Amino acid sequence: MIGRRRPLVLIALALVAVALFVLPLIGLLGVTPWSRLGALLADEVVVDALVLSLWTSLASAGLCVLFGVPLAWVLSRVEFVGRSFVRAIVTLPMVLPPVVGGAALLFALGRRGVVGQPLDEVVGFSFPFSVWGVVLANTFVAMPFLVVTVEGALSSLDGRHEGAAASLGASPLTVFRRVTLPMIAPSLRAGAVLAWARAFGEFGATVTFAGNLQGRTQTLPLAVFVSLDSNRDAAIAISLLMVAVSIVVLMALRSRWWSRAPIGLGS
Amino acid sequence: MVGLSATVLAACTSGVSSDGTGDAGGPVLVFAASSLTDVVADLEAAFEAVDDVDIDVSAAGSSALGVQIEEGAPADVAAFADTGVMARLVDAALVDDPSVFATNDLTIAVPRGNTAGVASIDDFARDELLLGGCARQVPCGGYATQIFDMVGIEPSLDTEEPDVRSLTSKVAIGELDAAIVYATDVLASDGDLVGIDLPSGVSVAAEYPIAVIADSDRPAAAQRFVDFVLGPEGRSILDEAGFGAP
Amino acid sequence: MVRRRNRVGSESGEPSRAGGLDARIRLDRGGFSIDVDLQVAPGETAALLGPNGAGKSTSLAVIAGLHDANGAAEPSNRSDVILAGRVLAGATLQRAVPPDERRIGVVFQDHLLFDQLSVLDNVAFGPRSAGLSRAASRAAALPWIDCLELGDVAGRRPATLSGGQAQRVAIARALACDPDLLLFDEPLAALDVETRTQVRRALRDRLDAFAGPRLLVTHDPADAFLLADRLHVIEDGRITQVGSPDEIRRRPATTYVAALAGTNLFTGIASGGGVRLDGLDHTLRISDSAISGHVAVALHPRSISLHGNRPEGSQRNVWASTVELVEGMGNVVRVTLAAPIPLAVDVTPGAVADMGIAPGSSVWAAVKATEITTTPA
Repeated sequence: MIGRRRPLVLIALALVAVALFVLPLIGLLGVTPWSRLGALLADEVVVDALVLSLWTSLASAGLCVLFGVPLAWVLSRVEFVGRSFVRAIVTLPMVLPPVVGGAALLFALGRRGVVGQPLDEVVGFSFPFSVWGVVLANTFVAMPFLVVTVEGALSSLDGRHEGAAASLGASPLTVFRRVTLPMIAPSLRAGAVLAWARAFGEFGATVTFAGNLQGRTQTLPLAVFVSLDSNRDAAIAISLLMVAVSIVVLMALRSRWWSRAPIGLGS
Repeated sequence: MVGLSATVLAACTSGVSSDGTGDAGGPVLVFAASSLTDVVADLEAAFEAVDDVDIDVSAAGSSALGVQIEEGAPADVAAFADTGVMARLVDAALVDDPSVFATNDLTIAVPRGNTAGVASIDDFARDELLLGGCARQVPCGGYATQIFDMVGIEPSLDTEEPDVRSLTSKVAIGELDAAIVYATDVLASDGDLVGIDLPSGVSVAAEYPIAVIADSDRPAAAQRFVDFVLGPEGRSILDEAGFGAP
Repeated sequence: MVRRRNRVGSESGEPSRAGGLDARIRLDRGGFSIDVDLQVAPGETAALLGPNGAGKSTSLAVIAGLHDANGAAEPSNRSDVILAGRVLAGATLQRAVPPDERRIGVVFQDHLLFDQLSVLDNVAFGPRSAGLSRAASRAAALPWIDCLELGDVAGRRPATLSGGQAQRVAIARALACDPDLLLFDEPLAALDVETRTQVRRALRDRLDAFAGPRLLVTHDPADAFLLADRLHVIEDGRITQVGSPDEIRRRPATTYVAALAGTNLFTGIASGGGVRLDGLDHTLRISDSAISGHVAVALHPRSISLHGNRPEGSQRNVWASTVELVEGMGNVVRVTLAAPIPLAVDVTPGAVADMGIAPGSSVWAAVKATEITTTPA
């Protein structure tokens, strides 16, 4: 850190921001039924929802990386007609209310949807009310986070290391694999974590597109919502569980992975 | 002259409305069950035509509304799809003296055209169909569970929607092959939903209670709305929407 | 200037083209256009020398196929590049050969090593990209590690290396690809003076051993004069002069070249306060008596004085010479002297008139030992 004097104003504003995050957490801890917590969390509704949430959010994060990185690469490196339009619609899920996103997915990929109907007739498979619907809805809302992060990182590279790799005989795909990807690795990690977090907490698109059924489509957020009316203690317990899982995952990624600048520059 | 202006002055200084009943100003907030969404809009319009009180409606699953009232939501009137939720509020002394204002039947709804060929409640055991119900915590879901028990089927549901309107919209666009919903929902769907009767003898009488919230700050206006709903005009609007008499 | 060992091609004849580089670079970019013809024979070290902005880096990028980082073809690029008999770019091709297929080893000014790979894996990168397994590519890299004396740092990451080490890794990495042409983009520019000498020496050794053509792009005349067999001077996108270092110095074609030439650079062996110049029958007295071995000496044209008779005084270096050429260059006159030391000397027009200096006249030249700069070469 350069300099020892830190403006008090900044610290004060930062504390207000921290309060915004900490107060709901304190509220939650305040109403938690500690004595019954174990029993509540052991309930099969909770266990089913936890398992489902974990693997669908990871699967979504994986899909976001698999499809989002190439998309980010194309947006940052290839000039084509309509590029700014594509960039805009890729960020649309960030702007739309998730329920609207879910409804749009239903109209496109539902059983009677524009694409979904032919899919159902030919292959006999449809997304809604299945676990794949959950994965799809989560991927839809989470991918923009990955694309935006990675595209930013790719655009900040000056391309010279890639040029050096090409001069050494590396094909474009090899350049991407062995030079570009390692250089953007910190941003890629950050983007993947953001995408995972968004998928883990997703509710509106999931309930609208995939429905709500214990063990199949009822993820942790849905379980909270459904319990809120009838079994408040369960809802609180599940909320606490989600907070705990998130904190564990996010803290497990050490801070140096977040803040390291793209390598290869200034060396 | 002095007497009249005295009341005006009193009204001005105490901030009460000019009808002198002790109500605060502002609209009356009605919490209505999801299945009442369309009919409560008709009731609202009819009431506002004869009374100069403004009605605002918030429609959601009855249990969700019940929780909100328990947490202190500023509702003036509550109208639910099941007496259980209302009983909880009575126990907590949050409402005064509810009355049942309507009843509803449940029925099977299929999308227009019924492409899946659903014929009866027995089809709800078929795995290959996409079937829906309300979440069990919601009145509609509770009633459906009773019906399945009566008929003796283990339903193969693919989703349990948090409120009945989410359920009916998915059936209406054909994403679900069938669902258990209220008869009034089928009527309100303007042909998008087609009803299939339950077997004779199988029925659940859903009772809809209405009450004024105890610490409403517009109790007089709220009571007038409740009276309107219970009265002849309210009755005829409810009848037209398919709701039975209490 | 001095003859290099292992030079190919006669001083003023056309170098043979078989196996070498034949490039005609034609490019428009904004208001700037490049029109450069360049041939480099196998075994020849050519320098493309010019001021910044003259088009050197662009020319190098065109030859290497790297003219656009995004790989998009530049519509105004009408260049022809032929290397070792293969056409890499030109009107006959539908699209230019991509850089990864050109077999050109490039050493960049800021080395551009891959930070996430060790030194060994950096050098092995070329063979690995050619399809060798990790073990085989590392084995192929080892000789170059030894050759560039990188054995001690082979396992380290580039971020831990000094500038000189990093540049040697870059050289090894380019050589490990077994290229048809070696291209150097300002290879010594980012280094400090001492490191520059070390790396220049390493470069010179490697260049001599490399059988193919080598092209050095630089703005530093010392690099060009000390490393190249032939200089191609580029100014404003055009070649203004081609020739050996001697020819360039003797007959500068433009002011810029004259300024370059006027640095009077020589190499020699130093010992005991004197430098025996390479290829010339003369020893210069210098002020540093401790330095010894191969050195480069520089005499600024203005530090040399001309006299009609043998001068007396403290100058340690005095010799008789003949005037070869007299050229007015603004408010100085450049007098080029012949044997024993071919030199450029700047004097005032008045002095020329007073002394009657003309081609063929005999003069005495004198320069103080303290005016001669000596650096290890």
